[in-house]
Amino acid sequence: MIDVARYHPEHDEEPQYERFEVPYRSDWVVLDALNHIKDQDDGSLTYRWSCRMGVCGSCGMMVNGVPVLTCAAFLRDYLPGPVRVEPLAGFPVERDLVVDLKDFIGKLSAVKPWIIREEETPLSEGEYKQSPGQLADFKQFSMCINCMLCYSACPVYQHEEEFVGPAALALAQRYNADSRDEGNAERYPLIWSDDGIWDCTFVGECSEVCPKHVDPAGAIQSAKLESTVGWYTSFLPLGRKRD
Amino acid sequence: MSKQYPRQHSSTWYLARWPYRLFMLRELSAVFMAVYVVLMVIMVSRIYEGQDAYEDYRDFLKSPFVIVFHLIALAFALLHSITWFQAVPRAIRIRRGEEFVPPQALIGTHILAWFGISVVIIGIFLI
Repeated sequence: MIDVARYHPEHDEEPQYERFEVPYRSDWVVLDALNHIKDQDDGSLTYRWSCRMGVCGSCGMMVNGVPVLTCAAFLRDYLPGPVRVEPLAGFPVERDLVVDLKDFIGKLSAVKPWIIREEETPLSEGEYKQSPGQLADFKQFSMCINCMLCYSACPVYQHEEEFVGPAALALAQRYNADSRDEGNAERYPLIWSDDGIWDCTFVGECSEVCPKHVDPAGAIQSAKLESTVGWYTSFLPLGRKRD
Repeated sequence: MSKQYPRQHSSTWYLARWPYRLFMLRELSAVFMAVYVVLMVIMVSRIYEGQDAYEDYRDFLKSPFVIVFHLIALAFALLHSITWFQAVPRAIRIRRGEEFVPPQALIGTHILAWFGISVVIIGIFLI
């Protein structure tokens, strides 16, 4: 038994739940069940999915109240059921299980998630070299697949829409920790602001639900430490200037 | 453009799942710590006022209600301290070469330091 949240913007004021019966197979994931419903019961069921192997990050939904990638959520783990499938919490719903990504995409680009150089080195001088250790500094944070599960698990984001949020802040930290990058000062005004890292109360669930073990909560705490050290050292004669 | 169902938030979100409940308990621990500090400050004030005032206050501290409060405060202090130390490796990542110092080593070092400092402070009061 699967209870699926349905929302039709044309005629619904709020989502309704519709119950479907799907055959049980031990190797089926929740996404298989949704595909079965769409094939056999109701072709209008709307949801996002693509790779079916935990890489694309598009099939994130709430399953029994917890944000998961439905391609990695086995039905056998929810026995005896029923399984409740809802759109990702904290986002406006477009239709059925599809949420609006605009807010997240805007925040993602706001943290400037690309390598910023004060001066570009000509291609003729070769690549920017990096040691394995320097790579280790940020590699974990670069594994994010933008699935937004962390936003759905974050009660701060649910209550404060302005909060930049876990994935975007982890990505900012990923570039700030990259030895090839020189753009920290450009990112600090946003990530050190009240809507940035200091909005985080360290509930920690963003890291627990992350399918790629990025640990956004850890990234935010590291950034808080940097911010604090930066603020105190700004009082020293050779310290960094306060923004 | 079609009508969206707006984002929702619940005022009882912290009841939804155990990780959220534990988070709220961790936050609630601050209230018990604050009350404990107030009781300590009052004790210092009573000591300043003289032996009779201090003896009266000690009798108050021996009442079952206050003892139960202290036991609850101790439980919250332990919860807060342990979760605090568990969070240390999330904020402090120390890299040696290509590897990071294991989280357990960082947690263990901090707990040992906490224990050592506590022993020193207790020692100072007992001497």
